[in-house]
Formats: sequence, C-alpha cells, structure tokens
Amino acid sequence: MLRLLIVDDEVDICDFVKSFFKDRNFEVFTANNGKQAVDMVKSEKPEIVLMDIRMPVMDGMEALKEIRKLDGAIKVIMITAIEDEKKAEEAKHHGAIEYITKPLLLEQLERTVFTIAEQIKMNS
Amino acid sequence: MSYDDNWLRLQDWIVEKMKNCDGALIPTGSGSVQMRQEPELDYQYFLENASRTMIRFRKPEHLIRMIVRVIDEQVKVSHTAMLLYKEERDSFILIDSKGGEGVKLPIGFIRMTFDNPLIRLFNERHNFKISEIGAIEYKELLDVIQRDEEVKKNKDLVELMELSIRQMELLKANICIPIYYKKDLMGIFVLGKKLSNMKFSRQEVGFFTTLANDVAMAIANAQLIQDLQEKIFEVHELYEREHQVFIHTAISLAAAIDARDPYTHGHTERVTKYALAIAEELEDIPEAQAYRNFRETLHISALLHDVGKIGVPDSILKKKGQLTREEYEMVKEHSLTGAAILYPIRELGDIAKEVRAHHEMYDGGGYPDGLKGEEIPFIARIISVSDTFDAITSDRPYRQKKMAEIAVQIIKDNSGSQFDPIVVSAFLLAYRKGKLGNNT
Repeated sequence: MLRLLIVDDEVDICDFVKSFFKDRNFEVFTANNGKQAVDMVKSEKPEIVLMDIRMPVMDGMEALKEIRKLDGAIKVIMITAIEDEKKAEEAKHHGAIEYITKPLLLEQLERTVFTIAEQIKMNS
Repeated sequence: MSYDDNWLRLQDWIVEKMKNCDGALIPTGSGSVQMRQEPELDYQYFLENASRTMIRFRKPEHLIRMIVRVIDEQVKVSHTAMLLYKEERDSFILIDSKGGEGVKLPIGFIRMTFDNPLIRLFNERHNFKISEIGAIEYKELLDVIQRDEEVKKNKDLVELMELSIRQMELLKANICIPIYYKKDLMGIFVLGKKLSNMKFSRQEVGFFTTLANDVAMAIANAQLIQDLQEKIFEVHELYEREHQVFIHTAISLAAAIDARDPYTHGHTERVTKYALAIAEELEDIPEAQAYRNFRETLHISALLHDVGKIGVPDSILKKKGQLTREEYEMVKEHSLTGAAILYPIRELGDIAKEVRAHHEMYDGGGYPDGLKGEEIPFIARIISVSDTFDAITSDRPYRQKKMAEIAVQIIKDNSGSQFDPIVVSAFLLAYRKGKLGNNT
C-alpha cells in the first residue's frame, strides 16, 4: 500500500482528501503546516505528498525544499489557491512534480496521483 | 434599513417560521413525523414571505449561507453544502458548507464541470424523467438502478446513475437538490443524512426544492440588480466623461479667443466666474428652473459668449485708439458670428441663442435683434451684467480702468434700462458677499 501525506492548514480539506484516498487504498497521513510535514516525512516516509503553499509556521515552498533534501525520490504535488505561473515554476524548480490550483477537479487529482502511483510501482 | 438589519431580521424570521410552520421539518423523538392539518398552506405562507425577503438581498451568497446555516440548525442533518455555478471558472464550486468534524465538506476546494456525472444527471434529467420533484436521493437512485426495468434497458443512463452515486458518496450526500433558473442548472444543494436517521419526508424534499427555486430567483434578481447598477454607473461615467470633454473643449475655445486679444486677457474666464456667482443667487427662480440644466447651460454659454470674436480682424481687436463707426459695427457682428458658429452643433443649439443675445438690452436698445425684457434669454441677461462688470473693471484699449465701486454704480443706474432688475439685484447680492473676486 502506497503512503500518501496530505499537508493543509485547513482541517476540513485534510479530512476530505484523507477519506478520498483511503477509499482508494492508500495509507494516508495528514499535517497542518510545513514543519509538521517535514517531521512526517522523516517518521512515516510517504512516497507521495500533496502540499498546500500558504500555511502558518512553515509554508509549502519551504517544506518542499526541506523534504526534497531528505528524500530525492519523493513525489510532491503542490495544491494551492495561488494562481501564479512564477510560483508554479518555482515549485517545479524545487522538485515538485505537479502544481494544481484550487478549486480543483477531483478526477484530475485522482488521475494525477494514480499516474504517479503507477510509476512508483513500476520502478520498485 | 441596512443590509445587516435585513439579514438578521430574515434569519430570525426563518427560524421562527421553521419552528411554527410545519412539524414535518422537525422530526419528533418517537420516530413519527408530526404534522398539522394544513401543512401546505403554512409552507406557502413561509415561502411567499421568504422569497419576498430574498429579493432584498443584494449578495445572494450571503442569503445562501444563511439558508444553509438555518437548515443545518433546524433540520438536524449531518452536513449541508451548496454548489454554485461560477461563470469565471465555468464550473460548480462549493461555496458554503456546514457540518460536524469529519463530515463537513471543505469550502472552495473542489469544483465540478459540466462533464461531472452528477451535474450531467441534473442537467440532462429531463431526458430521463428520474424524479418528479427534481431532487435525487441516494437510496432512491440505487433502487432505481436495481429495480426499474425501464431504466435498466438504458445502458447510458445506468452508467450515468452509477457514476452519480459515486459523486454523491464523495459529497457524503443523502439528497441532492438542483437549483434551476429557467432551464439552467445554477447550483446543487447537498444534504447529508438526518441525525435522527429518519428518511427525508416527501414534504421536506418538496420544501427544499421550492426553497432551491427561490434561491435561484434571488440569485437571478441579485444578478439583475447588479447588472443594472453597473449599467447605470457606466452611463453616468460616460455622461461625466463626455461632459468633462465638452467643458474642456469650451474652455480651450474660450482660451483661444482670449489669447487673440491681449488687452482683454482672462476676460472670458472672469465673465464666466461672475456669471456663475450671480447665477448662484438666482437658481431658485422660475426663469432659472425653466432651463433643463441651468448651471451647465450658463457655464458653457459664458465660456463661449465671445467665440464670435474669431471673425473680428486683429487690426480692430488689437487697436489701441478709439474705434471708428465701421470698426465698431464689425465688433458688434461677433454675437451673430458666435451664434452662427454654435448653432449647427446640436448640443449647443440653446447656447447659441444665449450667445446671440448677450448684447441685448432690457429696454430693447441692444443688438443684434433689439429684443426687450423677457424676450431676451435669461442667461444672456446674466452674461450681459457680468460682461459689463468686467469691461469696466479691467483694462481695455478704449477705456481706462475704473474701480469696481464705479462699475457697481453704473450697473445699478442702468437696472431696468440696460439690465434686468432681477439680475442686477442678484449681482449686488453676490458682490456684497465678495463672490465677484479680485476686482471687488
């Protein structure tokens, strides 16, 4: 079972996405800010991270850099309300694999995560 | 009444009505639904009043938020949410949500396009005749797929229904109520399960459906009001801008005239200032009110009163000594020339009349038409006084500068002969108030 980490300061979003991917056979963890996310990556070693950008304590961009330092193979998908191509480029520059803006289409999120999951399974 | 007052009033009112109007909304502990004798009448009363109040809401999203909250509190469901169509995204976005931890849907996180099966089911439902009341219940949908022989024959419909069931599961919805305006789907009202674990009664579903329709009306109304306000604002802006361009054009023209005649430099500007000051004392009298826009007409007429001087040769205009009779006749032409310049411009037709008459005298001794008393347009009578005041108080090649006091005396002496006495008294009033500027 693949391990998925959801990082968002909105608890409702964490809960919703968690139940969505649990139903799709993922082991799901949640974190409410960048710092918690970094700790979670250390302790739970998820393969995929869904990360918000605007968060207290440590924002998603900082967390992305930290996480990629810890694990060069980890797949990070940024999910944010910030519609900004420069931000998207910055995220990709720091190793994010996708950049999805909120409000999102669930099918799109599902497809993105499934495609990445398939790649991970093939490579392992 | 302020927006907030309305908001609070409606909220209280709905809560009160929901308590009283029909027991069906509040399930009793015994498991049976208590109803009154004539529930439909109460519903109707509630709905009529609700929709009337809804019209007052300028921002439908506030209204929706309130409805979601009130229903959440009164009907006791696990969660409620509202998906609303947003043109800028061409999708349905979850704009409001209420409910307990773990069941509440996140606001602004997901969107649904017209490809979404649930949206399609509502949008194309008229082809399928799914339910009479427009709402879709999770269990009913399951039941239809399994039992309805007619539906089973239609593979596409079964597939769409199955996919819709998945969508309802995602939304944790027990019931979805479409919001239609005319034939367009505007939104979906999502309700979780009742905390009492009872089925929604037919009457409740009917009530929510009617409420959804009223929400649609409120949204449409608010949109209409907003569109209308934007239109009014646009027209107003356009008018303001055109008006400004108009005034500025008149000012430029006036400046061009003034520039030709160094001895009367600033004459137009001053006459306009005096005329506006005199007009302030006259705004309430019938003569002023007979104009569609007194102040504006006066402003432009004053700015353009000497526009005809464009036709007076420099040799005369700039002459230092006394003018010959012929030369004076040529100068007098300027009021006719001015009117002739302005008359063909549709918007300036009225102004042309004022310009033509600004050298008429109250007793009929003026030019070019020898008009008398009330025959002289009112604004022209004001400009005449202002023009004379400036001519006496400022340097002219053919007359030494005189003091303002002397000018006032001359104007007083000629009240009723050269000038309209009403205008003269307004002039004196403005003068005493110090409104006639530096020359006083």
